[in-house]
Amino acid sequence: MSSSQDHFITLCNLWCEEQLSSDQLIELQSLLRAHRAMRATFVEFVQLHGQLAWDAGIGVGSQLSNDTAEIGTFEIETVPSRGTQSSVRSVRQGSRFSPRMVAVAAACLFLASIAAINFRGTNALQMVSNGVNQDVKPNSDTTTYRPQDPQLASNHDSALQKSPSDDLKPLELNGILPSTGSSDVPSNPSSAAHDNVVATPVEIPSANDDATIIAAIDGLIAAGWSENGVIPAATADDHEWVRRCYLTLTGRIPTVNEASSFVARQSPRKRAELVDSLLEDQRFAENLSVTWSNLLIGRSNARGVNQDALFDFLLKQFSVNRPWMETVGNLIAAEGRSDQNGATNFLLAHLNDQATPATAVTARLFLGQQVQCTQCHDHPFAKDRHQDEFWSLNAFFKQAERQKLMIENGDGNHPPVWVLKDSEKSPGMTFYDTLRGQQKAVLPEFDGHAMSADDASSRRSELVRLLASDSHQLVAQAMVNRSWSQVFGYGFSNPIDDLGAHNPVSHPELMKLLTKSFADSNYDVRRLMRWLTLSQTFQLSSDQDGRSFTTDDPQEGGTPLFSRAYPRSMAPEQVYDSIRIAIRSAADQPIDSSIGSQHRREWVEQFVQSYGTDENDEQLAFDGNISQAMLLMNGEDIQTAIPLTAVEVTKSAHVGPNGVTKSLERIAMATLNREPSEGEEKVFRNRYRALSRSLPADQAIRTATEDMLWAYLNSSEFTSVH
Amino acid sequence: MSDASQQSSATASGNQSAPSEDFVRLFTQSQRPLYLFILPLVHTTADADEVLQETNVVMLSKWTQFELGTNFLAWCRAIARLEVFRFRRSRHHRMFLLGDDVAGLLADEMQEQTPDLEQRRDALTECIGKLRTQDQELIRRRYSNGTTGDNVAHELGRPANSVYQSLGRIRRVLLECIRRRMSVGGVQ
Repeated sequence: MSSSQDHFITLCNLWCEEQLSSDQLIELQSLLRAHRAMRATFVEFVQLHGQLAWDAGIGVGSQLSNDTAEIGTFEIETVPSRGTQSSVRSVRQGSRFSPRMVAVAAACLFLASIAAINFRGTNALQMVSNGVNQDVKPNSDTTTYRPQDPQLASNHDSALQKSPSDDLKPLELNGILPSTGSSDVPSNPSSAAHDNVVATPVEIPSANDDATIIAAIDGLIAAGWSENGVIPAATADDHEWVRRCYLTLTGRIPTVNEASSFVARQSPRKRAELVDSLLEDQRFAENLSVTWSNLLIGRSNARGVNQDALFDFLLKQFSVNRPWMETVGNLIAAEGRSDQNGATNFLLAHLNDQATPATAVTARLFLGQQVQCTQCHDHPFAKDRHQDEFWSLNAFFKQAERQKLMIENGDGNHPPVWVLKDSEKSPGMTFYDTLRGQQKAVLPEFDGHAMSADDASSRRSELVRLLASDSHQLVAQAMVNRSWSQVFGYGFSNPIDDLGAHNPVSHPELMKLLTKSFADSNYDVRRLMRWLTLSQTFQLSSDQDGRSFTTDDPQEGGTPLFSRAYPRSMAPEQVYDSIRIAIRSAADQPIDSSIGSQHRREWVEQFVQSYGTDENDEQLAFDGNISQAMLLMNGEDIQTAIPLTAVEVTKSAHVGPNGVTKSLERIAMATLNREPSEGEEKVFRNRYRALSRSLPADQAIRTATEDMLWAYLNSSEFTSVH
Repeated sequence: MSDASQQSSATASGNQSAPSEDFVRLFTQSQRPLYLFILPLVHTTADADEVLQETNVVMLSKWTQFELGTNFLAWCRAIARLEVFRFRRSRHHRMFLLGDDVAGLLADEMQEQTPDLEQRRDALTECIGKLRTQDQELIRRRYSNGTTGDNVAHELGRPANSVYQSLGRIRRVLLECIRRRMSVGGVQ
């Protein structure tokens, strides 16, 4: 039996058991419509089922051979009309009004009630956005939805006013507006609030779209605080903030000069100025390219694609701030040689195993949906996520083909060149097996739009088109959520790439607003990052100070309220670059910006284990802890760099009166971007004194500095973003 | 009782004479083929039962219109077809119901069917006899008294999925077995 016929029989079986899904019913019908042979088989199969059902109660096996005459013995004398009804019925021993009928009725009622709930849900969401748009008090009749009701917010003000940081009181609803229409916005509430309290106030530009969106973020986040009775952390000081800002936007700590010039700067808008200059900086584009290259093909590059070409493609996109949707589209619909069109390398890395990794990774990264387990079965928790959806997304990639290209006059040292292209003809339906071993078939379908089986046009281009017009704006939503988590340590959902009705998000209105704003901005990545890094939330300190810690602790599994900066481990690339920055800027040497270098890649690869799973995923065995940092620092370059750095730092330290203090300050600034603490100073002085007993002053200070540099680099503070 | 059957009964009341002996014999023999004709068009066995009853009512009320010697099965299939579509109109919301166009195509297919249902049934009986005992038992349970796969799973304490899987496998085996026997029979 051929596989398509086999699959068809599976559908017939499901039909007999009344187990067809509505999509399968559609599939069955289209097959029956199209193929006469299948109609014959269907009839044959269902009649087999019918024979068995007809003989029900009589028994099977030998008894089954009883002649139909036996059935013919019923008393037909009672004919005609109504009498017939009962007498004929009595012949059939199958139960007419089986429990099945009741079950169907119950199921219908159930479906009706679900539909009602969904409708209400949608309605509530619509009312939110309408409310935001039209300045209407939103949907106060539902208790589950948390409206940004000004009344509600003001009730909570009293609690906040007791705290010293009442600059964070919830904003009024009409401050929360989408990126359009801003004429009636009150003068920027958040910047006004800052002026009261913070020593170095954070000015946020007012009266443009960005300001409105940032104000909306602040308002919605603050509403979460007041609802949960959380008092936010104080605003971070400049040292703390500048380090986090550089790490977030450029993927490395600031140099001593960068940090100190920022701290010394007097402009009231200096934070916004720094964010804007970093967003324009090539290092921001490089950082995003590293991040996305890792996400797209993994650090280990297990499939041996052209990592550099992909990186160059991403860098080109991010450097000139191409719309994110365009980048996604280029990656999905890429064609050509792996060395000439870097975007091809994403799919070239994932087209193995019937493109199932391509499907899973695309859904996860670009749509924020984890579909990989629906490859084999309906999602266990997400009732809205079915196996056929995986395969109808998968079907978009079924036309893609890769070929290894033989390059002339190659010396064998070149990485293999692949060609990614679409096959000329339509690949037809995509077949897959259910857990029951039934085979099913689907067509490429996304957001309710299906391609026909014989449509020979490019399926991947069609998917790109559908993504851009997606009614749910999933691409925007996934990017918003991922960016939020890159900036704040936690996304709105956990995990960040598993969005859906089954997985509640911490700030639904905010995510919705940002998704819409991001899509409306034509997927402007820089503006998205600008909104996040200029929000009040990003200005907060990670200093726990006891205030919000007990109630806002996502590390313990709580819902993140973003009432403080959550400290987190650096990514290995961040550690690598930051070590280089720390050492070089301590020694006052120029920072050569050979980012993405081969050396860093090799260094990072030490921590990566790849798995040949359905997602081509890998595990990063790096958690930023001290023992790992020790291990990783045994590289020869660092072994030699640190003593040299100590020499540079202490060049004149032993002569001046404050030489010891200055040496310590320099390495503290270079590594942790802050002044040394009293405790650190004490430890350092003790070490220096102990060394002085046996060494000349210049050597003692050099050795003490060397030791202290090791200690700083090995501290958990160095390897965290906080 | 649906509107459709009341209409049928009203029609039936117009004719009071009892059907002839010949008619009754043909009528009796037609029951299984009619049931098998109806089932693919209405989906569930319960619905097939119901439509068969309505069809019977009409047949018995119009028995005088049938001319002995013509194709009885074709005559009652034509009636059944009308009853099926009458039924389908009243249950158009029913889940798993194939579209009218598909049902029409299937009905056409069946009307051209060679009358080999008796042989098929014999083949089925033999094929069931060749099944493993546990598979015979599963089929017996599944088809006794209008149960469903879910009920069987419950009785056996097995997951519903695995029962459906087994049933699907057994039906497949039976289909292959019947096809083999029918093709052998065709050669003879």
